[in-house]
Amino acid sequence: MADAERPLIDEDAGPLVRPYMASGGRTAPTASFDLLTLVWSTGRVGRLAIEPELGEVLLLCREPVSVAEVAAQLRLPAIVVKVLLSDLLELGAVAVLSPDPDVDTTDRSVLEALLDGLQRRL
Amino acid sequence: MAYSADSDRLAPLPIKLLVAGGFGAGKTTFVGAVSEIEPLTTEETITTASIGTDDLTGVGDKQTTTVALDFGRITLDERHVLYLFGTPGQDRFWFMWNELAQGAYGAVVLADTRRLGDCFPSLDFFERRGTPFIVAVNEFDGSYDYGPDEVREALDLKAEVPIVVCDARDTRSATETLLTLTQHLISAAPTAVKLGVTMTDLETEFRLTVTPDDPDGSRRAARLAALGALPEADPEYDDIAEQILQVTGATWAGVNFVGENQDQFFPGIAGPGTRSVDGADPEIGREMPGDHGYCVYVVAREKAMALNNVMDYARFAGNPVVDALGIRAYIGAPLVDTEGATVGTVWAIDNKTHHWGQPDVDAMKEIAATVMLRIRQKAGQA
Repeated sequence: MADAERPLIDEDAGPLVRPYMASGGRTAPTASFDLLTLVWSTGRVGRLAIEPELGEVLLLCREPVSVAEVAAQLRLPAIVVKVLLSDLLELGAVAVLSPDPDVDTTDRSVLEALLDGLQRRL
Repeated sequence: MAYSADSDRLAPLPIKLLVAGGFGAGKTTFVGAVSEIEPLTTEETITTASIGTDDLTGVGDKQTTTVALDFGRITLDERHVLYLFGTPGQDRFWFMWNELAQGAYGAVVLADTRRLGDCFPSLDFFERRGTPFIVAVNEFDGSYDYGPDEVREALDLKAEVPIVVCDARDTRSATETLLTLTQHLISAAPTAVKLGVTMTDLETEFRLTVTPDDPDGSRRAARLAALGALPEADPEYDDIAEQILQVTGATWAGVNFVGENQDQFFPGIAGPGTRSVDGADPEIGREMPGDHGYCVYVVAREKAMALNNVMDYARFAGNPVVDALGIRAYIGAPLVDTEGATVGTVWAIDNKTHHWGQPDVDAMKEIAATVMLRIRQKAGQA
């Protein structure tokens, strides 16, 4: 017998609260974000002056933080976080910096910084 | 700064590495072992209707899937932060790999010796995409039944792909695995980097001109004339070109005198189509305009240059020799006379990519010195 207190659902029913509820029903961000796009609060917009979902995001952005990290902390799909971040960007509440997709991944100075940084952890 | 900023704030450069492997190979454990933050899982909610796009339309359909991405962070120094992403293991998330692989510096492919075949898709993906990787055999309790050589054979890995044994649960072991990857990335970087040239340097130096600026043209021509180095075929230099082929394993090679207007003449040349057959002109002649080939860059920079794959360089991929001769790889060293003038090069080219090593570069420099000595001896100036 199913527990009468619990709704009869399984995974096929999908999430109970649709992810896009957090994004106000919008389904696509207005700015382009990568998982490694860094975002940080500009300090120009107070957290209480905006919607709670946006405020929560802003709270995580006091230091530059990646989109992936914000999504993980909030336990929201990255796409939802991208929508929220584009709102914050439009409000001037955050600044963003996206990685260069054509970055030279053979840049020796970067690889050596990687080598040094890893060696220090041993 | 590799970041395109909308602000003047200096943000650290993110370095992205991927941790791949079959389902259950230990990706989550590995990322967790090295990350300075709690290992986090980002969800990408995707639907079959919106594959590969930033769009939630259709969420709630039966086809909705959540992809969990493990990721971790390591602060390397004030300017660099390492991000590790565990790639989704299941085949149906292939499309996500492209976004993840974009801008990734390299990858660790975790292998479980009980299910070696599970890492084939990862190996294939990185090989096709040209993302450098190493294979780390995750040593589960009692699972390690194969030596690295057996794993290499079983996975049909090229000799240059490092294989390490690691314990994904152990911070030190996982960090050492990342170090091995980094050392591999440094050694696999284009040889031009080894010679102190980065792609950025080359792009900046030669951005505005099809051929490099050549302020020394008249000086070079004067030195060539003074040395009696004429645009004439010389069997001795043909022999040296043959010698270059033997040393480097390239397809064509030659000795190049670069004239006043960067026009090139090969007193020595070797390779298919360079010899006269039945009195007819050879298919590949001894003259070449300045906008053809890469020797003029060696002359302008007065430094040796090795390009494993000319297509890797925006500046070089459009060179006429790419289409005309199908050239894919180049190595050249300058002929520098005792007065410091660069009068030409010794060169080798290949119609396929060629992994030049430091021994090739050293050999080319040595041959260049030999040729320069012979030029002076012939001129009675040595």
